[in-house]
This record gives sequence, structure tokens and C-alpha cells, in this order.
Amino acid sequence: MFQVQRDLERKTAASRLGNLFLPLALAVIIAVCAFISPPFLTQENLKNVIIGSATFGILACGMTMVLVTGEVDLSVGSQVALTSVIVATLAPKSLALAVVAAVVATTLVGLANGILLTKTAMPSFVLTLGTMGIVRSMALVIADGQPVYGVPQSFTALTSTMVGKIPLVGVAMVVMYALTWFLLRYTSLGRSIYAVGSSSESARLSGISARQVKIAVYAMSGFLAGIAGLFYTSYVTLGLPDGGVDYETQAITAAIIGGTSFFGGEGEVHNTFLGLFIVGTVKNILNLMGVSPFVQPVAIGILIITAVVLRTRKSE
Amino acid sequence: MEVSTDTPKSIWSQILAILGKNPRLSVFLILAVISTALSKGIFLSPANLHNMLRQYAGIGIMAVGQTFAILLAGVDLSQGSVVALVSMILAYLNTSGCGIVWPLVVGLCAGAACGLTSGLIVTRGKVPPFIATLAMASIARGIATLITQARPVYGLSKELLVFGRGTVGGIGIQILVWANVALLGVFLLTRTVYGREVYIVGGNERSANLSGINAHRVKLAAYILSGVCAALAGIVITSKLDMGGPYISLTDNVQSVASVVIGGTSFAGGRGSISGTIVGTLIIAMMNNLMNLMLINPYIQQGIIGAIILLTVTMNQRKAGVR
Repeated sequence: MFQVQRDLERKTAASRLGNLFLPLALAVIIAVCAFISPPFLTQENLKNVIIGSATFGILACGMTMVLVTGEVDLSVGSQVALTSVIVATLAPKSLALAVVAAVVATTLVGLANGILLTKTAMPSFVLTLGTMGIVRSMALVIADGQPVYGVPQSFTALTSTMVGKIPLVGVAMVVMYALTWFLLRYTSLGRSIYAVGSSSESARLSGISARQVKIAVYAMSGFLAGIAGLFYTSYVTLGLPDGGVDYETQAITAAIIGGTSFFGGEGEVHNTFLGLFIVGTVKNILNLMGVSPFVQPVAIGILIITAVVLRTRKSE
Repeated sequence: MEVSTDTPKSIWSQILAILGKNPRLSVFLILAVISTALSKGIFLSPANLHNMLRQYAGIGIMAVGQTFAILLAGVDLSQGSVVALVSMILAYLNTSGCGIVWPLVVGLCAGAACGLTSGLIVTRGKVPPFIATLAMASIARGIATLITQARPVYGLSKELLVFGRGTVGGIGIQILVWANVALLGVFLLTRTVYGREVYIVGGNERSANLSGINAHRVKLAAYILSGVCAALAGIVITSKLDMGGPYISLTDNVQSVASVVIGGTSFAGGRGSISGTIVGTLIIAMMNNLMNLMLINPYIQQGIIGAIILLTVTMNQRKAGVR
């Protein structure tokens, strides 16, 4: 236990140093953006940045936990599509039922991921590649391959609802991040997640069940994918069985730029949050400056590589 | 073959035991029998088999390169994007009057360059392969769309269409390309020093380095191979489609990884083979072919492939655990 604790202390100390880097980077990027493009700091534009990032953001929150345990969840994009199809199909009967059913469904998918992972000891990349296809097919079969109309106006209004000056989806995202932050930092489950990710062996020796921790983390990732899917559905106003493609990549990108290690044991959700907004801001400023949208993926690719290379250099 | 130590069992349980030890083979055979029975023999008709192979040659070629990356405990997620990039380069240069030799050369070089870049980021930059090639995928797809602002390019010259539509002795050229690439891959892995180094580095990089193998160089070569394979697939696919498309091969990367994984190559590196990968590609091809023949709801195709991945990998692991 002491070993685990010392590991944790060392890790937190290291990331505290890193903590200065990300906010600084984001501040510099924002300052540069405000300087080169005055419309950047308008409320309307910032609202767009938040709405544009929120779905990925909620996914990235769950992805961070999964990555910290040393695994990955590629099925969350398909889970977003499944949510949107379930909501649109059931909403005409009862909106409350639809929302609950959708989130329960994705939580179950996450649970199944976790159980399969721990039962078969399959690499999580391969396992979730498989479930990614299966969940996508479920969404396609339920919707018969077509967009599903039937999301009520009251639900589609969710995206445009403002709480004060912040869109509701932004508030929801912040709440999810705050809860996850609390969970990772102040609960025994949170400490177990880091322990399992940094060393399964010492976690086992200190009496932590890696199996239970991983199942819990995948279930939470599924739950968060459901929440993200609700806002996605509200945003696109439809049940889209082929929606959410590649969202897992976006979530991983935010977590990785936020300094989450791909090998487990390291990563914090507030840094993922900063990573999310670094990506969102870069995309937004390229748009505002009228740069061809096709430059965006190139820029994001270079950003990812730079961020990871810088971090590995620093930690050495 | 192992002899069962239990009491003698019925012939069925013995067959099951043998199949259980060869998960790829059993899935392959079961699928072939089911396909033949359900399609009332159409599956086995030469025309259908030929079509199926032509359709999956591109993925088969990618999967050969992918095998090298996965054997080294890595993965190449940029192949699909490299296919699109090569496709756009080929089509753009070909339609702007550069003949066919230069487009092919530049296309292959672009594939190699993408692989080299991924390899350098993995080895020099110490970025995990998943992340490095994900970023490379983003960059290659971006450049592919930038060439014509995302418009597909039509009107390729006839000579270029040979790769996807021509035949030699009745066999589609892309199948021959696939066969040659696969043979070359088998030769590299089983008959050369490089092949042995791939298995050693994939099995344990530290001990490989200690025994004097330059693991960085081995990995770099593997990513270049993967990039070149993607470029070859790009040539074949472009020629078959008769257009350069910036958004082609969006899901091919998953199929390429799936071929390798279904083929029994371990994601932890160091264990696997090209022959397994070829069977993996054939399983995916047969599955989709059967569904098309049977007019089965296409929506469950991805799910079936997902289920096959889970099934074969679990069986592979059971097998590894028994040993």
C-alpha cells in the first residue's frame, strides 16, 4: 500500500509541474486567437466552441478514466449512435422512458465491455473494436438503417437552452467533469483506478481487485457515452444510426493532449478538459480565419504529435 | 496433434477438439460450408469467388503490411487515409497529363513517406503507435482532401485501370498483386534475418536491443512496409473504382486490423503469421460475400465481423493458455 501511495504521490507531483504547462498553453492560444481574430471572444462564438466540443468532452471524461487503467474504449462512438436511435424510437411513447432506456443501454454495453475484458483477458483495443461493430449494428438494425424522426421539440431545445450565459450542454459537461474529478481524487475507487493503471501487480498485492475496478470504469464510460449521446441527439434532432463515427478518436485526442498516458496510471480529467478546449480553440480559429476546413485534420494531427513528444521529452 | 488423455470420445467431440485448436481454420471451414449450403452452391462458383477476391484484394494487401506493425506490438491506423492520399495523388497527376509511371512512382513514395514519418514518430518521438498513426491518419486524410478541396477526380487514363480491372490468364491483376505481396511478406518473415528480428523485437524489445538488434530500425522498416502496402492497395482500389476519392477506405483500416487479429497475430507482438492474416482477410471476405448473396440485412455486417473478432481472439487465447 505504501508503495502504491508513494507511486501516486510521485505521479501527482510530476503532474503538478505539468499542470502549469497546459493552462499556459491554452491561455497563450486564446490570447493569440483574440489578437488575430476579434470575433473570437464574442459570446456567440464561445458558445459555438462549447457546443461543438461538449459531446466529445463528455466522452473524453470517461475515456480518461479508461486510459488511466491502461485500457482503451473504441466503442463509445457507436454507443452515441445507439443512444440517439433509442431516444428517437422511444420518445413518441414517453420521453422519460426513452432517456432512461438509452442511458441504461449504454451503461450495460460498458458493463459488458468490462466483463468481457476481465473474463477473456483480450486486449481492450481488439475487444472494443469488436463491440464497436456490434453496437453499431444494433443501432442500424433498430433504426433499419434510416434516420429516425420523432425527437420531440422539447428535447431538441436542450442544446439551445442557456443557463445564464452558458449553454446547458456546457453546464452538463462541467458537472460530469467535476463529478469524475471528485471520484478520481477523493474516493477509494479513484485511488484504485490509478493503482490498477500504474501497476496491476502492486494493486493486487494491496488488495485491490483490478477486475472490479475495470468493470466499473467501463460501465462509467458507457454511462457517460449515454449522456453524451443524449446531447448529441438533441443537437442533430434525429436518431442517427450512422452518427458518432470517429467520436472515440476525438475523445482520445482530448485526453492525450491533456497529458493522459496511453500506458495507464497517469492522467487527470481537468487536464483532459484543457486538452479538449485546446483542440476546440484551434479548430475554431482556423474556421474564423477562413482557412480551408481540410487543413483542420492536418493541424490536429501535428498538435497531437507535438503534445505527446513534448511530454515524453519533459518526463525524461 | 495432441492426443486426448480423457476417455475415448465420439468422433464428433474429436473433430470439435481439433477445430478448437485451430480457431481460424474452423471458422473458415464452417463459414465455407454454411456459405455453400445457404447460397445453394453459388458461393463456390468461380465467378463469385473471383469477384470476392477482387473486392478484398485491397484490404488483403493492407493487412499484409499491418501484420508487420502488429507483430512489433504496434498498429498502423493510418492505412485507410494513406489509401485515400495515394488515390488522390494518382488520379490528380494522371488526369493532369503526367502519364501513368510518374503517378505510380509518386504514389508509392507518398505511401513510403507516410510510413517513414509514422515510424520516426514512434521510434524517435517515443509516441505510442496507436497515437502516432492516429495523428498520421488525420494528417494524410487532410492532405488527401486538400489536393482538390475534397472533390473526387474522375477520368483516369485506360492504362491505369489495368490494376483494378485487367486480368492475366483469367485472374484479376489485383489478386495477383495481393498474392505477390503476401508471398513476399511470408518470405521476409520466415526466410530473412529481418523477419527473425521482427519476431524477436516484437517478443521482447529490451532483450532484442541487448542482443545487438537495432529495434528502432526494425520498427522503422515495418512502418515503411505498412505504408507501401497501403499505397499498393490505394493503386488497386483507385483503379477498380475508376476515380480518385478523398473519402474512400474510411472503414478499411478496421478491416485490415481485423484481418490480422482474426488471423491469430497477437496484439502483444511477437506471435503471428502472414498466412494467418490471409485466412483472416478471407474470413471477412466470405462473411460479407455470403450476406450479399443471401440478401441479408447489410446493417448487421459490422456486428458479425465484431462477433467474429471476439470469437476467434477468445479461441486463440484459450489455445495460448492451454499450451
